[in-house]
Amino acid sequence: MNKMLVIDYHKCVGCKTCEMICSLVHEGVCAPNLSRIRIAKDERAGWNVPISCAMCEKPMCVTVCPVGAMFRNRETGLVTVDEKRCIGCRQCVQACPFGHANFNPLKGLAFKCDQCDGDPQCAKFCWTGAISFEAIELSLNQRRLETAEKITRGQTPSY
Amino acid sequence: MKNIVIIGNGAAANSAAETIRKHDLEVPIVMVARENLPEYSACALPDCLSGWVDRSQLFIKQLTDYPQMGIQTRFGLEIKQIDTRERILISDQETIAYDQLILATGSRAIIPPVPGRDLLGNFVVKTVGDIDAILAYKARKVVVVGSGNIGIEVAEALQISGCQVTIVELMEAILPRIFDQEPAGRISRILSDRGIQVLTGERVLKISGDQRVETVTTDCRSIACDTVIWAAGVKQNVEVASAAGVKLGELGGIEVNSRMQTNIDGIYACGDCIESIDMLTGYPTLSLLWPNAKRQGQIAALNCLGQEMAYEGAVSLVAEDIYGITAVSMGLISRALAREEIRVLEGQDNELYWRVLVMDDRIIGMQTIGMSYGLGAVMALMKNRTPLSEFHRVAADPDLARRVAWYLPAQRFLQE
Amino acid sequence: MNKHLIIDSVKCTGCGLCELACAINKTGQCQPYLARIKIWREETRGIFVPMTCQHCDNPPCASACLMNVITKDPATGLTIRRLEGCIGCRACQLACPFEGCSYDYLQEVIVNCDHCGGNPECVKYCPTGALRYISTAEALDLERSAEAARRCGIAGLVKGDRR
Repeated sequence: MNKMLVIDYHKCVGCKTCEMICSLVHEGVCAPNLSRIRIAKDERAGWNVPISCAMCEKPMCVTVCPVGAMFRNRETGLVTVDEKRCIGCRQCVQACPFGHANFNPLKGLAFKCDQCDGDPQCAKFCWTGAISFEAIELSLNQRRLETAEKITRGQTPSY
Repeated sequence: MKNIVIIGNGAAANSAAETIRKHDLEVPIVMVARENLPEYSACALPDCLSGWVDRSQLFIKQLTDYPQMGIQTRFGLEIKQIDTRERILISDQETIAYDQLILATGSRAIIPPVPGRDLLGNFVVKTVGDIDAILAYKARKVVVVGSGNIGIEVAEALQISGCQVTIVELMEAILPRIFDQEPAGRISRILSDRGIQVLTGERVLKISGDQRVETVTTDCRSIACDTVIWAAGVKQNVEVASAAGVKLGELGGIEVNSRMQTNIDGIYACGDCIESIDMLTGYPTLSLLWPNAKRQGQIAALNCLGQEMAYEGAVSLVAEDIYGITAVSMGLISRALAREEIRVLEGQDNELYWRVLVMDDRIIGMQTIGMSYGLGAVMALMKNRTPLSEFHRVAADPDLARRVAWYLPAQRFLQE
Repeated sequence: MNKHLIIDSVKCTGCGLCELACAINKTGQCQPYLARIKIWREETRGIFVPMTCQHCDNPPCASACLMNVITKDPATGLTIRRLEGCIGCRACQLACPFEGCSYDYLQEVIVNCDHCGGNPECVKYCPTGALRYISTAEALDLERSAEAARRCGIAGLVKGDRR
């Protein structure tokens, strides 16, 4: 895989458009609880962090799944749930360090981000630019440039 | 409207019927079976012999449960012929039309062609009728021929109820298809300690007696007895299906694909009567176990309803209670893998004994005596085909191990 | 079903109060061996993990059961057992990866957690908050908040912080 969902949470305003479009595309309803991407927010501290699947190379959700319903597709690099195998034991929910692996209590099945098969709607509809879908190398390059710019302007980078 | 007919009333047939009803409240289901009894658990039959389980407890359903679920029953009816072109089932009394047919005809116990096998006092243990007959016969001195799980359980049950029991096994150790020699020897010692005579490597040559069984003659000795219980294997009930053109596999079961379809359109098969693919080896196998039959029934039902679902393969899982000591075997045993290179992780802790077979860094079998804690985790690792190196990577790191909590109980068995 | 026993093993100290509370509530005996929740203890590494029935939606124990006594309760979503039919064969224990089935040697049957009818005793007595009875969505929210706080470098601000 060469593209990933790059999340710049400094830009996120917590509008939840991504949650709406995600649940609409995947489940047919605007229900944040059924969204594959979720925004964690603390209004007092003033931060909004969109959290989605990182498509880890060694995913805990795959390791923990006792029936092999979670797997990492070698070709696409996506971590996917096989709904026919999922027994609904919620182990992935407890194992994912980011709180991403999601659970649909109505269907009794785990679900997670599938990057909309290469065209993530959350990135498309994010109007602040907090979520983008881009090549990892490009994204890194961008970060390096931003850092370089701050250094040359005499600032310390914030991250 | 199309209707689904299920032949059989065992684990696979009932699980298929329940699955169909769960997904479709409308479609007519007809169940046809030879025995006029509601579903019962064949696995608990030996426990019924010893009195540990009451006869009424064997029954999982009542006859009234079927109409409640909207299932028509034709019990006590033997299907003689399947007309696959007209899609009808023919019996002596009536014909039944079907649109889709699920064969779950199961298997029957066989008695090898030994002289004297027709004498009074020869029994098998496969149905409730067999149990009733044995209980009514009032056995005193029993020879159990064959030592699969049914043989061992029956021997134990009869010994508990006061009989003098001898087990005769053709192979060099008991439970030859379920346990390796070392654990089988331990089980054999448990049985001998309780007074069951275990004879291995002996072939039964003939049974003699005047009307009733009086002696069993093996190639080493003759044993005086009044009852012979045959636990020497089963045969798939495939004759009717085979006559209708359903293709059989090499091992004698009905050949099905991963969606439980036979070679004839609209006919599915599941349970003891089929040949399924072993999950671990990928080769065809005759799996005669309850959980596999139930799963196959579900798969057949879903595909029958048009929901595509593939069977993941059969896996062996046997738990025996031998005089209160739990003996468990799951996956494959060394004998089945004679030509492959396997590693054995063996261990003992007081009364507990375990033996794990590892091939290509993956668990392919495990046998234990004396415990059941932590085995579910090993079973899941085996089914998942998790590499042992990956297991050790996760289990060795406390932070990862806490997240993958269910790995932890398996650790003690998998240490090198 | 909305609520679940969510286990945060990082917080568990292995004190065993959950086991005692469970055993007393279910059997009247102060005997951890009879509890439906069990702590996996590794003293040397300091790993303590409470393990109990996860109430899977499609439970492997139910497919393994030889007597078909394990079913899903449609009203509560819990995995329940018809104990009078259980013959104690332990097939369910072998099918369950989570040690969710425990053998009750008083009744000679296998039992599992039933969330104490919606008010689990183990959670009430857990002194560290390792056991919580909340919805899966709530648990995920807490986890995500903790992760977000960690990314923003302000750990400790969020309730339910794991680190």
